[in-house]
Amino acid sequence: MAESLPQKPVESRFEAIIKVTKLVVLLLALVLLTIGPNVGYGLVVLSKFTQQKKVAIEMAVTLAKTAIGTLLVPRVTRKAVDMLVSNKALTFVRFRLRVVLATALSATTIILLPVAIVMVTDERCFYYNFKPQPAVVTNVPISYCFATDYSTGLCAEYATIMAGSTYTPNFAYDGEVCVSAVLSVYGPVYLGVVLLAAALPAGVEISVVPWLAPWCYRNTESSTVARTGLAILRAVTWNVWPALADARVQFSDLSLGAAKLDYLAQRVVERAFVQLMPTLLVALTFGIAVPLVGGACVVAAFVHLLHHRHVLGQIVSLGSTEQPAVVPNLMGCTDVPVGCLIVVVVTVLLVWVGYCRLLGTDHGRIYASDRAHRSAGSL
Amino acid sequence: MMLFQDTPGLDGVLPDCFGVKQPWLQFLALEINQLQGTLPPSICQASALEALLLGINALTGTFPSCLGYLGQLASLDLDTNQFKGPIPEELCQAGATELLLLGDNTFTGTLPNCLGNLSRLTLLDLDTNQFYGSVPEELCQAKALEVLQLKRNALTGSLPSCLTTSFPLLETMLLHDNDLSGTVPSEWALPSLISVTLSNNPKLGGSLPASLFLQHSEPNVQGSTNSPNNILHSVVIEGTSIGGNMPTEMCAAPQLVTLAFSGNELTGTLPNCIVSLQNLQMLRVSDNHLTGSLPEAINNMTSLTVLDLSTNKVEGRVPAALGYVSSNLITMQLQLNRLSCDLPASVLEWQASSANVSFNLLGGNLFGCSTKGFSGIATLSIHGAAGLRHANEQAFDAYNCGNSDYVLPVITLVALAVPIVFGLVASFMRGRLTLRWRAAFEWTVNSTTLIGALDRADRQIRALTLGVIAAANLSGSIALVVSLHVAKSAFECEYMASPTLANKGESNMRDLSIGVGAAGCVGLVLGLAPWWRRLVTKCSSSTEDYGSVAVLKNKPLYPFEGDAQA
Repeated sequence: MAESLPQKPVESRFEAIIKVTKLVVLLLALVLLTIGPNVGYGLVVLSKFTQQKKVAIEMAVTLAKTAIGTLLVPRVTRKAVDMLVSNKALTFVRFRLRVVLATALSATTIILLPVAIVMVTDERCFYYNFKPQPAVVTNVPISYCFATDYSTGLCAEYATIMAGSTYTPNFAYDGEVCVSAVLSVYGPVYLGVVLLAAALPAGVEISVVPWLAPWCYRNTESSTVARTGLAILRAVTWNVWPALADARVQFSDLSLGAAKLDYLAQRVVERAFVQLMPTLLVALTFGIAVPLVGGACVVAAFVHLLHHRHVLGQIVSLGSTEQPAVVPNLMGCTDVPVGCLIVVVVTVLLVWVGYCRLLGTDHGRIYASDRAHRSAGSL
Repeated sequence: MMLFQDTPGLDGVLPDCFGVKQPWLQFLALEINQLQGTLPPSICQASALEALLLGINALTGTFPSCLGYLGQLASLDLDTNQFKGPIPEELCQAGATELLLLGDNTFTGTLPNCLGNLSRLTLLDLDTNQFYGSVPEELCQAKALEVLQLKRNALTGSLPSCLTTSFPLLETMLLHDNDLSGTVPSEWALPSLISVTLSNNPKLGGSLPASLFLQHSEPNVQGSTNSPNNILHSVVIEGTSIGGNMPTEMCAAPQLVTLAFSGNELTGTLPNCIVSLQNLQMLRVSDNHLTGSLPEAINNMTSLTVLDLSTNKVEGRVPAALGYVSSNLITMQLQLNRLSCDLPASVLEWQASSANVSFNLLGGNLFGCSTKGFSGIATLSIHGAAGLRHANEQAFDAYNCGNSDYVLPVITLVALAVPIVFGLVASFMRGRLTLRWRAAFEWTVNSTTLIGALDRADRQIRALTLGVIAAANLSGSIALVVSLHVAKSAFECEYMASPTLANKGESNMRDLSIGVGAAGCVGLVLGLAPWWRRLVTKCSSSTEDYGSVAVLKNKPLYPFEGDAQA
């Protein structure tokens, strides 16, 4: 008894350290993974690539960000919460943690990081603050009197020589132009991310899964393609594919049971929250400034709602086929956690205060005329 | 006697005895050769020497101080050699000196104060050396100076105020590339001034002196400040700390060819009257803090070859007159400003016919796009994007209004998303989309006399996460049902006016979606609202308010009425 007592805390502390380290590595990996495409995209936008190449890369980045937001962030979140919280924790506690963490990660990767990267890499923002501009050397025409009319004492003919004129541009920050840069660089990307994150999963789940999933399910034992397909569907649909594939007809041998239905329903609600929160963040930041993005957020919200209500409805119908019939229990996984509200408020405030402060800052030089302009109060 | 050798190719050294045997030598011109070695002191034996012209050679050594004792020496040209060391004070003894060209060497030391004693000096060229110290105030005594070149040295200190008032014949003053400080003298009275450069003196402050542009002004003659004798051609003051406004007095110098004020701290607006400078070929005011708008009648500047207003805070719309700017134009840089609103058609037409012009208007500005119809992606990019503050990118292949980055992504995404959204809506309308979740959990208890157990199956009660029961007369076993089946989950029991049992998860999802949609709607409505668009883009009027192309083509604009009043 006396020997075993000192060992327990050491073990648990070690495990805790390992756990925290793993967690930090996991989250850092996600952030780094997000920084990469953003920096690359920022550099491409500022490069001398042709417009076609830029647009192609822009589309690729849009797809990458969509994938990160819809697939990677939720998985990392789930993994992180599994590490953080014991399996014995209440379902809704884990649910809330996951939603808050996913919202925080989305805010970082979708809003804050891109804005920060544009701020640093774009010549319209702070780029030249970090990398001073080279001296500008130009030739300017300088006139001189080539021939004088001595009768009048005036110059009769002028000639011009070219003289070198050099100056080193001082860094001068223009908030309006920088905010405009952020919006113009990321406006198209957000437009795409918001629309794709809503429309693609909905399209896949509603149009593709019902006919693809049954085939994959029937052929799991005979076909590798089917097994792979089913794994992909499982990942893409957050495991809700059986509900979408109409179990009454296709899966008479598959009984999910009440617990599984509870789980599926909880995941659908969680997914809806996790996908709606970034859309809300985009709507409250870029959506307010760029009407196209604002419009995309409206469409996305409608699609998200329709899509997830449909999936929930399918889960309910699936439950009605169970013997005895069951209705999934959300087990408290119903609220948007207060933490999400905090994340959203902080992020939106950061962005808007940043915008407003940037609009009002001229790198220490504020002119009366600027103040007058800023009174217009634009983003 | 005169000795010329103006054919390049003479090399070797000047013999040590050079001058000893030529006391009658008056004019020695050995410019543009490859002479090496030092200038022998024996040269000073040529006491009749009036012109010693040894420019553009490879002579080394120090300045022979005895040259100052050549009483007849009027022209001394040692320009572009490799002389070093200081200029001896003895040089000032050469009272007959008119031309002193010592530029492009490695002379060091301070400028001798006594240079002002050279009362006949008309040309002083000490540029591209390593002189340091300040410009001596005594230099102002050299009243005959016509050309003063002290550029590319390491001169410090402030400019003596007399330097800008003491030379009635001074035509050229080149002081750029030094380390001058203090302020630019505010009073200028150099009636013969043609060119002045003060560029690349980062510590030089003050403001642009109005009197600089009013040479020969006779303010008492009918109140005019625009004398026909004003022959100022070039003012180049770039890379200094000069601030303040650009004086409208510059418009009183009709002969101006070059105005270069880039890299300063200028504020205020570009005077509208500047368009009256019809001889102006170069206008460079980039990297300042200029505000205001582009002059309306910029096309009046018919000689303009370079127009650079980049990196300022010029805002508002681009005047249609920009489309009719000088055909001589080679460079037009307007990027990194706050120009906004719609681009006039004249600018698009002009750009289309000016392939050889280095042109940057879109980069780093705040253009929105026309909301008046979709006239083709090739000329006008995405429409319906009013209020967009997009700054546009570099390397445009074509001259587009607004940000062409939006075009392809929008088309692609719309092509992707529209069928999906349409399919979803169609499925919903046809009943293919099951939305039974809400129906399954909405449980309205209308009866106020309900007694006993609720008639719902366990499975349904079990799924409830929010039960709102407002019926006052409920009694019986409902509490038991709740405790048995619901209390383990996050059941919340609230008393409300309306006896509705709703599913909280679904309704929260719906509410969140509505919130997102509302936020998006705000952006959409604000962005498309004309008043908001004008606010954020500072467009005081819409496109049609500032005239059509046809009107401008046929009716010359009359400029700067506002400035005249000012």
